[in-house]
Amino acid sequence: MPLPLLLEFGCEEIPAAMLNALAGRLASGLETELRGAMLWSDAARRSSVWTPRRLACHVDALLERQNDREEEVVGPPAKAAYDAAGKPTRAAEQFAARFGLTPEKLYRVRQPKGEYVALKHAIAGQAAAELLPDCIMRAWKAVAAPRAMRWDESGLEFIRPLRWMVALLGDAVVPLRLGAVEAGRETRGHRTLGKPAISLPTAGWEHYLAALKENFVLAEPDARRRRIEAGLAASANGAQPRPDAALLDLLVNLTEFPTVVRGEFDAGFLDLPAEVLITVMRGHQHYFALEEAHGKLAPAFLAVANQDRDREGLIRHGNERVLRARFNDARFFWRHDRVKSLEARLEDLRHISFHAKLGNYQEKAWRMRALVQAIVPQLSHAGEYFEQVSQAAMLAKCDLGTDLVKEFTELQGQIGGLLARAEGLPATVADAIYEHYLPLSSEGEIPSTPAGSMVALADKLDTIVGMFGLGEIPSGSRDPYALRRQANGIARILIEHELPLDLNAMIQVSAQLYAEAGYMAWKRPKNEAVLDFLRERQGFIFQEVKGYPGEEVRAVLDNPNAHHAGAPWHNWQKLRAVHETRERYPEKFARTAEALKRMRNIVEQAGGLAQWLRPEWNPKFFNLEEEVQLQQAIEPLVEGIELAQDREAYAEALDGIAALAEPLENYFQKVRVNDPDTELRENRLRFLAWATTGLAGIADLSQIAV
Amino acid sequence: MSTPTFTAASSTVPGAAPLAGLDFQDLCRHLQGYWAKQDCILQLPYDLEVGAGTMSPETFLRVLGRAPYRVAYLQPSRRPADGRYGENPNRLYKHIQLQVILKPPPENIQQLYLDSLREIGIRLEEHDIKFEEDNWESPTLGAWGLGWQVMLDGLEITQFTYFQQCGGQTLDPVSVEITYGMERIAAFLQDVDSVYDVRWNRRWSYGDVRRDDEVQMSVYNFEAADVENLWQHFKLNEAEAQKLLAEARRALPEPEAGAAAEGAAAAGRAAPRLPLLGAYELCLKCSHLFNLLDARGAISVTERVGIIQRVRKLAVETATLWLRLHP
Repeated sequence: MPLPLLLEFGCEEIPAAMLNALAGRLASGLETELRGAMLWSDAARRSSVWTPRRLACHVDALLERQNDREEEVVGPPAKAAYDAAGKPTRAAEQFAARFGLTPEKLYRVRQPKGEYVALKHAIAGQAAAELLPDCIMRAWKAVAAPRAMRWDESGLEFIRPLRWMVALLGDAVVPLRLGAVEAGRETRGHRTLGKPAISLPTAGWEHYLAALKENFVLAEPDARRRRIEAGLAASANGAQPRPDAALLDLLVNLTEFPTVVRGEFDAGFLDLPAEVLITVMRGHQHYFALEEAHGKLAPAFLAVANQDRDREGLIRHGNERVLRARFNDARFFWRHDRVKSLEARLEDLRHISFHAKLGNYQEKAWRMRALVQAIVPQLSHAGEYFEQVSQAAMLAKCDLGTDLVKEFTELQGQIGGLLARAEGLPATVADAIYEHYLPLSSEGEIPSTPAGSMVALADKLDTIVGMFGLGEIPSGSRDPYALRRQANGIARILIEHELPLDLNAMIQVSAQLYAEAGYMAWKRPKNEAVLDFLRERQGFIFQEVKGYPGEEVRAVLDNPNAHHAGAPWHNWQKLRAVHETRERYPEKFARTAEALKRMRNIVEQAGGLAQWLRPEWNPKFFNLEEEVQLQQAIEPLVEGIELAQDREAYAEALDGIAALAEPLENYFQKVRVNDPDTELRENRLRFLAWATTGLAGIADLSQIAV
Repeated sequence: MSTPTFTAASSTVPGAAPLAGLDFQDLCRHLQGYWAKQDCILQLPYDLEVGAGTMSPETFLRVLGRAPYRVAYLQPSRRPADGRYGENPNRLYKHIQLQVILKPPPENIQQLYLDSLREIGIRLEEHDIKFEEDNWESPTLGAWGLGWQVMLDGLEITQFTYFQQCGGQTLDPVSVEITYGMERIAAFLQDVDSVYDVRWNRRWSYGDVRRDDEVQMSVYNFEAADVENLWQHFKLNEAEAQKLLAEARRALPEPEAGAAAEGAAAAGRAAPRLPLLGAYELCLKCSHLFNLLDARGAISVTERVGIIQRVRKLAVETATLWLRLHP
């Protein structure tokens, strides 16, 4: 009869951020082990719950013992098992005897190495109770933690100390020992509200969950989540808790019985920047900030206690006290930091290292300024904000020396922007400083203003070129300076703000600035290497973030003949044009792509594009009508591609290319490129090389062919 | 300082409820008494400047090696850069820790800790206690451990750490280090917003006892300390420590792999006169001088890493040799 299995590993508080992954690995590892041990029944279902103090798994129907089965065992080679007369040898007898059988039971089997004898051996299923200890032990050990610790003389390692263990199969304890801990049937309730020992009669899941609940432990994370959400809604009091999924996840894993406690603070603190107040509440105290209907902060917060209620209001009172102290600190910093202007802080940047081998932040600030001054004039309306962007680039890092940023690192940039505003610098400057670290993730918000975008670009590109010059190039999971994130940011800013800037030119300016600074360890990286890296990140954005098909992305980016290949915005326009055209004429587009692939292959097989581009083809060697027709169809297209600068033009040119399906197919039907006449053959190859190159100016459609 | 009065509520603590919560010194006595009952030696604060209770030899050296140990001591801990001229109600240049070391840690160590909170009058059923991940690392001491900050109604009151390494040595057995922030706990118990309003005893406040230190030492640490002299002291102390350690190293050769325990024990018997503790004190002085130089803004970020390395080298060398004497 199938039996339920209940396991609970009781630990000292496991770090919240690791709980989900640990519980998941434990449950799936256990299933793998149980299947491997042939104890898993077809009807079996597993469940898993966790709290900071426990990881628990349950399997509702485990086989009480393995099914009896027959196993084929292969013995000695047939040649050795039978003598010339066909009688079993001593070897055959011994082999059979090992399984309590006589040689008559042997039969012949073909093996890769020849013919052998084999027998069928009946195996009685083993009891689950005998097999489980090893299964559980292996599943537990496979829950490797990245930073395990030791805590007693047993030498057992885990992320935090293991203190108790429940292992029940039906109503029996599975005999099991991990380190100093012996498995039993006793679990523990909430640290201060529940019983310290709760005896479980059986492995019943519902009973386990109910027993814990009676002892103030909501073992199911979803139950804790619901309780927090309900508490937030009930305590908001007309205001709105700022939505914060990450904070909610954290609190679910920090509590066994969460209760929302509302606290208030002096409205006088609302003079402090909201960013600072929210960071203090959220980051340090794990509180939800509350917003009034018009988006302004309310002088109140919602804390989540690991309690059933706040009996005497002591928890509320204590949290209010702590928050008041923290806000007072922040106020002290905010006042103190404003004494010195950002410009005066530029001098302090000399003492803050950007990178041991790349000088300090003041040097970086100068480079950022020079870089934006090279970029901005390429844009329309540049005159309007040239001065202000320069100033913003210069001051962007000045908040690194402030107490507020030392205290709240995650507010870097924002603090600078707030200080700039407070000292009366133009809004353009303040906003640019405020948002120049954006985006913080591949889908995060990007700077909203042109000036902020320029400073953000300069900051990120400067870091990338600096690190490439030190050979710090991201590879695999190694990307200590988050260069990929910064490159993603560059691509998204240029694309989403429709800035047709060419990265190639920017890289050159940036590299020149480093070269002039003369850092010993810095070696000028190849422009192409930096560009390739930035292109690869555009591919990531196009494919993974924007969701375009990989072959279309490759057609645009993996295309050395493209015009404006160094400008992410152009690449984006081309990609959209390719996609739209392909959607409009799916059938013709596929045929054209197929024919273009054929065209490219022919040239490649004859030695490659470079070999046939010079001298150019000559129409006087055309001797077939299809050749002339194709030439007449392609020539205006190539001209249009040369001139195209925006999406409409790209789309129009691509429309034309889609219409090439027919002349291309006719050409390949009638024209034999490898003509015995050398002159004809070479002219055809020159023509195809030219056409391949010219038509790939927007996208190399041959990559889209299936 | 105010005129002493002999009423229960001190006149220096306006608005505080009379005798709500333990006085600062009673809090210290109660916690020490509690840990004394757990077989802890009640040690005295170490009589050198240290940045944390961990740096006292009672922790740094005693957690090395196999011998069991239990100790509790108050330790005034100096962090020059944290000074605020006595103006900030929560930040101090010198604060007082109660440091408890249990080697090896008993199985019910968390419960022992929670019971210590009951001992000072905190009814745990009425409060919110959380153990939040906080892994501790001291690059200067070559030490790290895993554990938590203990939060009481949103206030961090204790660091609770299972030491895994100290002085670059992997610990076996591990020790538990419990570090109580005494000012915070006292302010919580007495429900006051400023550390300076904490009652030290029934007549005097924390401010009466300590505010002048904070002001004067902030002036010294941030403005008056002579940078050139500090560097000189640093170099002299470092050189002397290096000399002592080099001599000790010659007297304590690395034990052969096979005869490790025996050889070291023999060396230990032969070399009790080695002044390793002297070398360690010089290392502590270097560490404090580094903190002072840092507060004076005399250390650039690049130099910083190098100097931490230099202090760490002394600490690791001391620990390595200490372990040969006390395996």
